[in-house]
Amino acid sequence: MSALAWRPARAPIDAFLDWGAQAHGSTRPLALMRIALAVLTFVRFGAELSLYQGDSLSFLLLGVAFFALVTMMLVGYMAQAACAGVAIMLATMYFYMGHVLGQPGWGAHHIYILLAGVSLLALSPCGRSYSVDRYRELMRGRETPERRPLWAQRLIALQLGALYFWTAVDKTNWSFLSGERLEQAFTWTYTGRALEPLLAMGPLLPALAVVVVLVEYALAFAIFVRPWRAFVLPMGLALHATFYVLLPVNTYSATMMALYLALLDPDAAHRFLDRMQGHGVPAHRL
Amino acid sequence: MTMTFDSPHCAPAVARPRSARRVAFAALATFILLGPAPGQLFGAHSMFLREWVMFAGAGIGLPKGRFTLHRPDGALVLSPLEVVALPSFMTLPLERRIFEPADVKAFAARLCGDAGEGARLSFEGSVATFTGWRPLAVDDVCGGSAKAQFGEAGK
Repeated sequence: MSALAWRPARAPIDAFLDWGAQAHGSTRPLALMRIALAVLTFVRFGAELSLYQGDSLSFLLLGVAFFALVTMMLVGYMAQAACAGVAIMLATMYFYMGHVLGQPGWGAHHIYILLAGVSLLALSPCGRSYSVDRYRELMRGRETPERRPLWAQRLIALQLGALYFWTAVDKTNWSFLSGERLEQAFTWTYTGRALEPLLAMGPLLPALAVVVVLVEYALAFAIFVRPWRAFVLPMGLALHATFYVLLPVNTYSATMMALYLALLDPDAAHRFLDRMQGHGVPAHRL
Repeated sequence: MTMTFDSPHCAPAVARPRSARRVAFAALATFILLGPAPGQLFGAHSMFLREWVMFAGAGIGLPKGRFTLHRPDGALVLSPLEVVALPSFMTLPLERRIFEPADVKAFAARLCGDAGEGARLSFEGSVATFTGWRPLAVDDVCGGSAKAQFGEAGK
């Protein structure tokens, strides 16, 4: 095959790799994600891993490691190492305890998206902002620039796009588009509950199913188009808010909402936070 | 190997090989973007390749329709939720769901144990499957559900 034949394919790939691998910007959105995912990890596992739940030495050790590492992640002390530790722990819980041992709920998708998010944060300079690490550097009089490589943040954005695309693929069949799978899900959640009349929505269920699939396909691509984000991000947040109040999604919706920080222009987010905190405005200084 | 600084705005103390980051980004991006494909497109499932099939199994194995307890003193119609005597299906264990027609007996185990002699339990309705609702009629849930068959989906 001639070299010319590869050109059309190589150019987009190069552009894609440049977009991802050469990304630079403020680390504040990453830091906010780190804090949010640490809180969500506490919310999801704190009760189950509290020391009073321990029925073996290994479970107690897991609990101790959990609280130590997630606290470090939350406050940003040795932030990347803490994220790596939390990621290894979540991977153990998801793969071994969830899938191999069958611990109920630990092999679920809301745990995997938490694991994916924390793993990618471990590859990012998420301790450069809003962290004990930054405070210590400043106390030592060192320069601590908040503009750093953001290739891991791009990967988080790709994870969101991939999730939307593949979940839409899973729903692109007659059993979902006819509304039957939604009715089945609602039968599971609402039978015997006050909102049981939802099951009698009839023709509205196929319409709702079609809307869900269209929105998910749209989000898979539109979240990467900067001019569309002003409309697309609220739409995605509304979708997750709807899931949160209608279905037992656990921490899934909140995790996805936190990961939306990866879709923001990091420098614009940085400037926004400066404005909100009154930097540069003398009247706001103490 | 080409060495380059990351950005004119923020030159790191140590120059990094730009190509290494591109390779790492490409590898992880491929995993993230195409990881679900083997399982979702070709049925080659692996716990290491997460498939995004959220709530695909929600409600599978639950019946809708009516159970009828035929007693000597008259028939008593019960909803599926009344049969399992739970406040919600969300607390129904997986082993009591109906994945095969014969599983109706396990679903109605409480009534099959309590119905007593002379009472017969029947079911008429449909059951949630991965391909939609499948009609199911069982004349004797406790005694003869093993012979029952699902009807065609969508009928």
